[in-house]
Order: sequence, then C-alpha cells, then structure tokens
Amino acid sequence: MLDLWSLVRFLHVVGAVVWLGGQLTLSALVMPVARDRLSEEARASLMRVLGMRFGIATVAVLIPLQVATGVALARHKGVTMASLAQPGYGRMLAGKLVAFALVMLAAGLHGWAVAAGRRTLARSLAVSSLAGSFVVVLLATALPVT
Amino acid sequence: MTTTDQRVNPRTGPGPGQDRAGLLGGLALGAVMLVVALVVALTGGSAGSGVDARTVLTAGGTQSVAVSLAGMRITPSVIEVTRGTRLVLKVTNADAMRHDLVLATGQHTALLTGGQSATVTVGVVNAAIAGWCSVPGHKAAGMTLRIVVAGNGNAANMGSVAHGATSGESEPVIDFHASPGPGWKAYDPALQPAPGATQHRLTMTVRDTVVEVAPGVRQKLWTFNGTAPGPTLHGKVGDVFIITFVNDASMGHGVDFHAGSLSPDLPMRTIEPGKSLTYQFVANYSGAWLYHCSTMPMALHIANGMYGAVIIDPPDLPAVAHEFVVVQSELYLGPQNGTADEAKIAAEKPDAVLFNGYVNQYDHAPIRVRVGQRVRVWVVDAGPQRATAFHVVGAQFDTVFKEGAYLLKAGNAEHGASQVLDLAPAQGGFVEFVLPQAGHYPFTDHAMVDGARGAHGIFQAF
Repeated sequence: MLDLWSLVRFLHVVGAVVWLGGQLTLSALVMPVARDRLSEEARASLMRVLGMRFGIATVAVLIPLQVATGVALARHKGVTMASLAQPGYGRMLAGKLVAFALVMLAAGLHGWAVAAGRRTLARSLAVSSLAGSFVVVLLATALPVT
Repeated sequence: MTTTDQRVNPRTGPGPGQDRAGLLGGLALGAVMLVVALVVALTGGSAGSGVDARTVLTAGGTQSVAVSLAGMRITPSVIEVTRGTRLVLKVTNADAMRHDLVLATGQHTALLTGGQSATVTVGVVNAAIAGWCSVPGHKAAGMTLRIVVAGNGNAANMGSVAHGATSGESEPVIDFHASPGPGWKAYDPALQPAPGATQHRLTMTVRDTVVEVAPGVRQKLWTFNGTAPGPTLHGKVGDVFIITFVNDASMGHGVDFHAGSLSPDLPMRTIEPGKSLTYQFVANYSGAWLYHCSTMPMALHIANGMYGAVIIDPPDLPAVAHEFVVVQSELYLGPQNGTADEAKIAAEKPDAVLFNGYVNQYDHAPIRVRVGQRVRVWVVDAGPQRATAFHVVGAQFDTVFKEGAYLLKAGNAEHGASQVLDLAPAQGGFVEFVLPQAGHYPFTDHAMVDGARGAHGIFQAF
C-alpha cells in the first residue's frame, strides 16, 4: 500500500542507494580513469575535491536522512532498545546498525588519512567502507523475513 | 591494519604494490565488518534453554519469596507452595532494561527500572497462577513465572517435588493486550473471486505446522496447506470440486466437505501419513460451508486447526465493493509449541476464541473499507463447540443470508434490518452493510465473554 510509510521507506532506500552508488562511482569509475588520464597533481586535487564534496554531502544530508528515516521506521515497527537484543529481527537490525557505524567510522578515518597523506591507509579505508556498505545492504535485505 | 602505509611524496605517484596493499587491506577490513555484523545479527538465540529455577516452599502460613527479573528470565521461574499459603513476592529488577511482573490474577508491579524493587501481595494461593513481564517481547523471550500448588500440602511428599519433570511443559499465557512481533502477517480476510471455470482442482496437504496463535504463543497445529483456517474455496452452484487430499502429517487424518453430498465411507475415510485420496463433490447448493478433518476425535482435530470454508454464491449474487470471509474457532492451548489440550476441550473451556486463527487478529491489522460502499462478510463457525453472535459495532445489516436462505434483503417491505448473525457450530452465512462515516467499527462475537477473549477485530472505514 502506498502511504506515508512507503515514502519514508523510499527516502531511506534512496539514501542508501546514493551513498553506496556514490562510493562505487568514485572508487571503481572515476579513480582509475583519473589515474590513467590526469597528471598526478590534477588527479590528487580532483580526488580531494570530489572526496570533500561527497564527505560534506554525507555528513550534511545522507547521515541525518538515514538516521531520521531509520529511527522513524524502527519506531513504526515497534522496535525498542530491549528488542534489539532479542534474536531474530532485533539482532539483525542491531547487526546492521553496528555495520553502519563501522562504515561511517571507516569513511571518517578515510578523510583523515587523505588529509594526513597516508595514501595506502586511505585506500584501505575507502575500500572497506565500500565493502561494509554492502554488508549493511545485505543485512537490510535479510530484515523483512525475520 | 596495513603494514605499508607511508607518507606520499606529492611528486611521485602510487606504485602498483601500494595499490594492491590498499585494496587487500580494505577488503580485509570489510570482511571484519561482515563478521562483526553477522556475529551481532545471528547470536544470542540460546538464552532461554535453561531448566526452570524452582523454589519449593514446604511450610504454609505467610511466605515471602525474592523474585529477580534479569537476562530475559524470571528467577525463580517456578514457585511451588502448599495449598493455602499466603504468598508475598519481593520483586527486584536486576537488569539494565526495564521490566515488570504481571500475574494472571491481575496483580502487578509498576514498570521497574534497573535496581528498583516492589512487593506483590499474591494472597492465599489455592490454584496455579501464571506470571510474566508485560514489556513487549519479553514474555516470548522467556520471562514467565508459574506459581503452582503442591499436591496435598503434605510436607512428607515435598522431597519428591523437585524432580523438575514438568519444566518443559510450561503452558503459555495469552496476553490479550500484547501486539504481534514485527514479522507478523494477518490472515488475508478477502474473499477471492470465484474462478471462471466450473471445475475446481486443488491439492490440500495436511502438515504439522508450528503457528503463532496469539502474540508470542505458538501451537503445533495440523493445517490444511499450512494455515488455520485452511484455504477458502469459492465457486458457484453446480461447480465440481476435485480435491487431492494428501496426508503429510505425523498421524492419520481425513476430510469432510459439507458443501457436497455423497457417501462418507470412502472419501471421508482416515488415511495414514504418506497416503492421499481424491475427494470429488458437486456444489449443488449455495451457502457458507464448513470443511474439517473427519478423523476422531473430531473436536481435537478441529480445535487443532483442521477447518476451513467453502463459499458457494447464490445465483445472481450482486458484486460488492468489499467481500470478506471470517471463520470463527476456539483455542484450547496446549504447551508452547504443543498441540491442543484435550482436557480443556472436554471441559469446554477455551483459552480464546479466534477470527481466522489469531487472537484479536484484525485489531492488529484493521480491515480497510470505503465509506458508503457495500461490504459483504461471510461468516462460518468452525467451533468445534461454541456458537457465534457476529456483530459489527456501529453498523446495521440490511441483508442477511443464513444456511441457504435470505433472512433479510435490502429494501424489504418491513423496512427491517439486523444486528447479529447467529450461527451454531458448522453453520454459515453472510451479512451486508454500508459504513456511513469514516472511523473504526469493531466487529466481534456479541457473546461478550468470547468477544473479550480474542473474537474481535476492526473495520476501518476511510
């Protein structure tokens, strides 16, 4: 049924799509092409600007959107802090939240590593953030049937 | 995490080795995230497997027992007292999250935060009393308590009481105010249109199925195609139904369709697990017909889920905006995940009365209908023992069809209408009405005791 909660769920899913798709686009499309076609300076400055903008969009829009819609959906479903500890839906959601927190931690550290010039560490954190995002989506898809 | 990170000289590009290290390190970190998330998501299932902690009070008089609420357990989970003991419970929440203790007798503590205590004066105990935590989900997770009465109050017998043999038998208690869990889905009450064809072929398989019948309460029902009620069959007068009946359960079963007339000897015989039979009947007459298991004792087989409806439209039945089927039945709770209690059936003491197989089902999932549009509700009373007085609060039935005849038609000369459709066990019919304004119209068995123990739902007009 198409109601207000469909809209909230829609925003939550779109937020996840933009976050995951954005990372994928930067890491798998823009980064290799920039490395092939641009000088080192141009590449570094392009990636720095893109990363900064994506980071700002994440902190200013995506995280507030995901947290707000996520909390609202959980409330609507009757999830309580206590039920998060229970096997089944609660634990699955708790696992998803832990993965989300780890992904955000990795993304934040990635920004720091770039600024500090630790290139390998930055790349590791970017890849792990991308991989972790897939984990979040995996647990999300497991939620409705539990 | 990574061993090769180093400051990058802005004049030099990254080497392929560095790239690979970054990629592998990132994938390793991602794998760690996967493992951590899965551990959180999939563990924690074994909390409720312990044996009951049992406290036995041999002396009579006034007894005080310390009860602790923690870790999704109530400790002790069984308190055994001598008949006539005056019992006082000192309840402490020893947990980080909030809990309470509610007794079936109505006494309860307030919602206690961690470390808080409260006293519950149970009074003189002469019969078993169930208790639980009423925070949603906690009872289902194992927060239950039983106060039981020892046999004769003979102190000499008490030594043999602590055998714990009854610990697996803990009987669930229905909380009529609880809500179903997040994954719960209501039984679809909509009547599907009759297929165009005049011949209906269907396989009906009986299986032992663990089904939730009330929030947190599960029974091992014997089901037709996985649900109780079983699938609703819908057709027109003269249609032929060819049913392949398969017994995939653990004991003998049969089937009896009231919608057709035939010699019971062969089609209604009991068949053993692994066997099947073909049951063919012609629906010569219109009506809301019951079908049920034909194996003795039928009260038990029906009470344990083996019932359903066959709807045969009277000729020229007008189409309506909304058409639903409600099958009423009784619930005689056995142990959690067990089968129906035969002693309760014999005593005609149901724990609950259900519409379409779940306590207060359509309170949790109101049935939505349009204001001003005609609603038709087919009702079948599956029993096995109790009648129904089907009523919709705020509505009047201008059309009533019961057991093959119209009792009332819209626009009748008397300008009459009806308030209740009464059905004995196995009878069926339908009512029609129009809801005049937006709002919530409860529907219930107007035998009020049954209406208050689960035979209740809501039409939401919009």
